[in-house]
Amino acid sequence: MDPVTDAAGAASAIAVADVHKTFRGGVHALRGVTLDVPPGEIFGLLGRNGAGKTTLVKILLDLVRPTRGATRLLGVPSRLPKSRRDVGYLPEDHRFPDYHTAESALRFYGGLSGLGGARLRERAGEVLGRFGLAEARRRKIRGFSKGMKQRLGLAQAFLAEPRLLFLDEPTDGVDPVGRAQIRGQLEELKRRGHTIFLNSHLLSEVEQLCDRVAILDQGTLVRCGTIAELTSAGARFAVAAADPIPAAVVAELGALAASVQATADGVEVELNDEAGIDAVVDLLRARGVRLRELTRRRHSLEQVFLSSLRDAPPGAPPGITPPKGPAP
Amino acid sequence: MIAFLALLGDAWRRARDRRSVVVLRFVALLVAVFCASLEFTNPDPRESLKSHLENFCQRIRHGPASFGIILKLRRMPRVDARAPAAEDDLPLGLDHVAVADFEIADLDDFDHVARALSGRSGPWRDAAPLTARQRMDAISGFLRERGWETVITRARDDSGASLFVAASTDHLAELEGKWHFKLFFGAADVPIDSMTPAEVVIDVQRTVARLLAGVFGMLVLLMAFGSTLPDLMQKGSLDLLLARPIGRARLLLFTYAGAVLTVLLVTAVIYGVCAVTLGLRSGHFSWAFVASALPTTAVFAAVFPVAMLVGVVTRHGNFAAVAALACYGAADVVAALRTQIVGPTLVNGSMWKPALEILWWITPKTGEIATLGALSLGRSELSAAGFERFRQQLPAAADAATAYGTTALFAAFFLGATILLFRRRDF
Repeated sequence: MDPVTDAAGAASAIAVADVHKTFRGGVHALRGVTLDVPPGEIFGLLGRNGAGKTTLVKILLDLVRPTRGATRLLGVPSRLPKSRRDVGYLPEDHRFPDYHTAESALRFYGGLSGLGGARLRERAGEVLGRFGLAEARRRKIRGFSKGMKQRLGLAQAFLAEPRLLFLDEPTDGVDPVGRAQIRGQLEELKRRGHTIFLNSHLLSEVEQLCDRVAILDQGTLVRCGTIAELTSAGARFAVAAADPIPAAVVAELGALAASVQATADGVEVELNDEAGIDAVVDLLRARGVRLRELTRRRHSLEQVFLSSLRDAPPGAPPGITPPKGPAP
Repeated sequence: MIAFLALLGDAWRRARDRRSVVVLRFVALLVAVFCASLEFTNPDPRESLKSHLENFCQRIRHGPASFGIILKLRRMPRVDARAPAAEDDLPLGLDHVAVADFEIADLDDFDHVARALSGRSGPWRDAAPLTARQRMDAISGFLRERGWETVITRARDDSGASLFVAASTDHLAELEGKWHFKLFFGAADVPIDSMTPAEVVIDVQRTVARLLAGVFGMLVLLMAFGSTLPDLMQKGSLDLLLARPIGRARLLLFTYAGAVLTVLLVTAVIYGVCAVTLGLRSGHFSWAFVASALPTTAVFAAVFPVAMLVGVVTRHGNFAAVAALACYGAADVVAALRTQIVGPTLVNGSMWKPALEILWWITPKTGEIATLGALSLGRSELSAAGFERFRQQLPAAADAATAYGTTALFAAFFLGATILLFRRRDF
């Protein structure tokens, strides 16, 4: 049975089932990738250069044919052109024919997506305005800056108001103000129920935007989960106090926690059970310690990402379980 | 349909942007200005009749090319051309009538040329003298070939040495004779005595068509469109296209059709401008000339798939254009070798002949299509007699079904191979 024809696959915005890709010359770009992106989610795909991220996106868009496995977009096998009827795509390093103006390029790509007439004119005007290109609409693309080309790329991806958007480095070459605007646009789309598949090296951006993240390494999906799941550091808490905590009190905490470490402004405790934090707070208050802040410790996405790689570079944070095989 | 219109619009923008097409437009403008600078003065019927009778001759052709010898009267006849008079008793309703009294200076000499004219050439001395009727027929036939539509001859004596000749035509522009053709707004005056004004107009049209459909035009068009697929397949470009809800085969076919239609539009506009300017100057509007854009486009449509295939394989625009041009040139060479040089003369019967035959069948018939276009132009522009004369000047062409059919098969083969390759590739 085709793994992506099951009920879950049909209901997913993106369904990938055991996809392998081996290019000519024996390069294994993907090794049995399986993932599922439900509708209305912003999904981030992370990986080093050459990890197979772009290959996966290209397979989803039928630019590259998988050696094995199957994929679906919005419930339709992605080999079929109609699977891309409601899909927008911003490739990395995209290149527009430079004889087009911003407006004629949108008319061209909109026409290929099946938009026409007054609707196309209306949508083109809207996205050009939304991405700050209204005044440059009649200028030839060959005179555009990198940032303008990137914004035009986003405009063409948003043009047909697709239910599913693939964005490869969407903020590449865009200034900080533009980045904030793009993030705003993506959040707005998410609120309206659109699904966004994001490829980005900007981990902070992924962390801010994405509901779920997958990490690809050497063609294998090594991690997949919500940001909270991935960055969770277990029952590890930082307690900040108004005054230095006496060493005797720190020693007393040792009986309640798996490990205790004094820090500049308090202590960091690792508990066996997160419910144990109540006992820690009670003890500190009983010893007259004035508490200022209690925070749950998390790893940064960067730490998670670096530690997920098979040949993780030195400096990857300890305590994060290294990958042992493909994630489900 | 919307996708096709989008790709058509893209091809049009590409054409407008390419420098080579700008050069083509500039050349077309120069050609239009040249056409506008021409002045035509139709031949004077009386002068023409006098010239024709004085130059009673037979051109004897040798071989398939237009080499030949001219068999002329050794002794000049006496020709007294004049305006028709009442006593000439001519039928009513004739246009552009001229009459002449014609005295043959040497009957043997005349009969020799007349026999050659009628295909009855034989030994000079032993041949029997022609009758008066035969001499009149020879003159009538000769004059009709010069473009006269109605010829009346009457013998003034029994031998037919003294004749009355009256000739008329409705199509003065198709009358061969002495007339003047002015170039560059009258700056250059070219006296013409062997071509009709209509033939000159058609020759100008054919020259324009050859310029645009020939090597220069194809060079420009293939340079402009040859890089279509390699450009489209650049990293980052193709992703934007293939991520649309359109199949690869359809994308290629629409791209092909868009380029072909754009070329049709470009050439039709150029031919149209030339036809209007020529028409304004000659008084003879040739809308069939605008239709010559069709064979030009057919030639482009036949060789463009070669550029597409090479473009998909190499992803190099210049290679693609050069390959298509080479194919275009090779097709012409094969056709020329087959019909003019190797076929009938040098290697008849050798192994080269079937090899050339096979090559001819599989290559596009670009030359034949151009000739068929010229024939179609002549057929619509000239009277039946004028067309017959015009047809004899053109190289022999394959029949339209063979020429267009085998060319379409050639294009379909390359287009099919391109689609097959394009569909299978990872991008």
